[in-house]
Amino acid sequence: MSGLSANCPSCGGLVEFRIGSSFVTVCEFCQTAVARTDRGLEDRGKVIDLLDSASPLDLYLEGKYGESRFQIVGRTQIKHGAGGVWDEWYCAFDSGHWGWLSEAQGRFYMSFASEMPQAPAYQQLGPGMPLPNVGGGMVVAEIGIAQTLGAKGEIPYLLEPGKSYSYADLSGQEGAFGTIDYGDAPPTFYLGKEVTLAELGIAANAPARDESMEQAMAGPGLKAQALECPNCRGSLDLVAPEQCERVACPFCGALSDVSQGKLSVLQILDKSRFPDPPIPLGSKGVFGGEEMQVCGYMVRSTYDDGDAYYWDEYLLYNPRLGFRWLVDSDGHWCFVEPVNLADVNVLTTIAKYGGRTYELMDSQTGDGQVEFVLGQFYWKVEPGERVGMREFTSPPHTLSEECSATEVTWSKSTYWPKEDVEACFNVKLREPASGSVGLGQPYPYNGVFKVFGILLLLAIGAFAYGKTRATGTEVYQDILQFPAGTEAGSQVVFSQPFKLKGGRNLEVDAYSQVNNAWVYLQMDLINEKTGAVTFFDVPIERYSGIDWKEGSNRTKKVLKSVGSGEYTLRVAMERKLTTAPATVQIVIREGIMRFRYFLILLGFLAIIPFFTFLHKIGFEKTRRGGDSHSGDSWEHDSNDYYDYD
Amino acid sequence: MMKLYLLFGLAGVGGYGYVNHTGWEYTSQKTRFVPKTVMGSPGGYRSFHYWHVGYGGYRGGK
Repeated sequence: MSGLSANCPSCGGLVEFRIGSSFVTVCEFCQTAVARTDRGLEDRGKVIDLLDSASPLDLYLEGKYGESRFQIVGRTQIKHGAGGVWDEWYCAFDSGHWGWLSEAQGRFYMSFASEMPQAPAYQQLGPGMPLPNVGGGMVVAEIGIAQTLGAKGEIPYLLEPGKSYSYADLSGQEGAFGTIDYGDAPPTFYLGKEVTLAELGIAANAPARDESMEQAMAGPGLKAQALECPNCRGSLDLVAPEQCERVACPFCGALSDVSQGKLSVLQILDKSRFPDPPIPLGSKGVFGGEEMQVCGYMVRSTYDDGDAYYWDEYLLYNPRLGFRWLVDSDGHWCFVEPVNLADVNVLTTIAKYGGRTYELMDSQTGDGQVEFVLGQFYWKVEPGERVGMREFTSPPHTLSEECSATEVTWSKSTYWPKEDVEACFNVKLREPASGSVGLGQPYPYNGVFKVFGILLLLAIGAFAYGKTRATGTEVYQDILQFPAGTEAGSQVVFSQPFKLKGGRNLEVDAYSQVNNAWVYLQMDLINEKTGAVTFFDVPIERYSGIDWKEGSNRTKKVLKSVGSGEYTLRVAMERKLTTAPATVQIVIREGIMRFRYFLILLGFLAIIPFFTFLHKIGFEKTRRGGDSHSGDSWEHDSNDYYDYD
Repeated sequence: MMKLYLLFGLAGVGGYGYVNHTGWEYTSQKTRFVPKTVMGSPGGYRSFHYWHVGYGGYRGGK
């Protein structure tokens, strides 16, 4: 760093160039931009006072970017073409190089002048246009015209107060950020990435240096500024006055433009057309551990075949996070956060972001129009403002694209149950419309499928356990002879004793070579030790003709376990034909795998998931197009819209 | 509903595990205790069917 002290060419006060890369320093006595040139110091004109923002940053604050330490030595304030301002903080690094720390709507981007082989012409650019050769592959997020408003401290270029220039903001993957500044010839390219104050090590330093940081961290509203509505003289409490471009009076509906802290009425909105928002302006609620304050309310619409569908959007503000949205569509709520445009990969009907795949909702594609606003907004909003919209969903999240002529933005919504929003703001909200499904609403019974999966695993485990026990061990086999000519019932045969392990079922397999006849075996399994006798019967019958047959020579019967021990089988036979001898082969096996019980179990377990699945199909159908838009169809009668008990 | 389903499901799986562990079957078999003295007595023992169905009770399918 090279220090240079001199007298201001305008007022004679002491001005100082502390940084070698600085071309301009702003005289702190007379607000003159003093440039150092080959011919000495030059008066570049007065700069206006900076708007008092609740920025946590300030001059001479120190931080680090990676391993490099820096100090903030200058600041410029830029006016956005659509209203609003953002700050560019000039950071001088210990190594001698410098960068810009941009601050807009609570988000911070560190960028450095970078090489760009050939800048695309500004006129060729459009929102969403990919620039694969720039910065390793970037997308145009926004194009516009900015105007330098004011400055403070030192500036590394020849500042011209009030100068307008074209720019294009670029977005790259993983937070990469770029800007092409068309104010220079050739255009200057700045490349960097989005950062947080914590990453810069500023969050810890700031409170000791400047109470504005402390105020900003303490929560919204502390910097609130009270203004009077120029139409009704009602008090307007601005939550973020430094970022306020439009205010709609909640008392009279006067929509006013904000310029230099002064309001001028643009139009009077018809408040009777819409009911008061159920969440009052100024309400505070905690989202994700951060307190946010409702600073604006907006009714938007889209049209489909001449029918208007409406939904509500609440603008939330926290100085550290910036702006967020809370959206009420048909009584379904979602919390909306901005996402980096380049991190969204759109492939025709799907979009990929953050490891999730989102599906395009055709019914949610169209133009969104602002119908009504209340409270304050950070851009020059007005009824009739339209943007193109596309929605991709992967419950409970939804990715939304909004595209205007100069800007494309993406945001991620997370579905919030109505009860959570009620608890958050301590209000009573309407029930979701009967039979409606929120765009990002998760199917409420998805847990059934998870439970089914768990039960299926348990069932398979039980099946495997049964398989280990079902050895099918042959414990008895014999061929029993029944001579001819004896009376039915008198032929009884006892087997040799055999042993059973117990705890397993038994299969009695009986075979007899009968044809057009039957034999009826009455069997008793007799426990030799306890005297327990298990009775069962096994009929065998087979009939046949020239071209038909019926029955079988074999009959298998499965018995439940009779316990362990030594058993004897008693077999008594009845038969149709007693004039011929009969032979019966009997095999007893212990431990037979029974698939039918497993199938019965699967059927039992699948009943509820099956009907749940059918219900889910209807649920998803409703989400996708049963109702072509998730908002309410509205005949401009506010009583139809809110149906409070 | 999920808790109820989990409860019913666990009961089902538990029942199936019980079947596999004990060798239970859905059958019409019956068990009685016959004293050894009766069993050992020549002509003293008659099958369950003797008393409950009777010989000749089965007439076949045709």
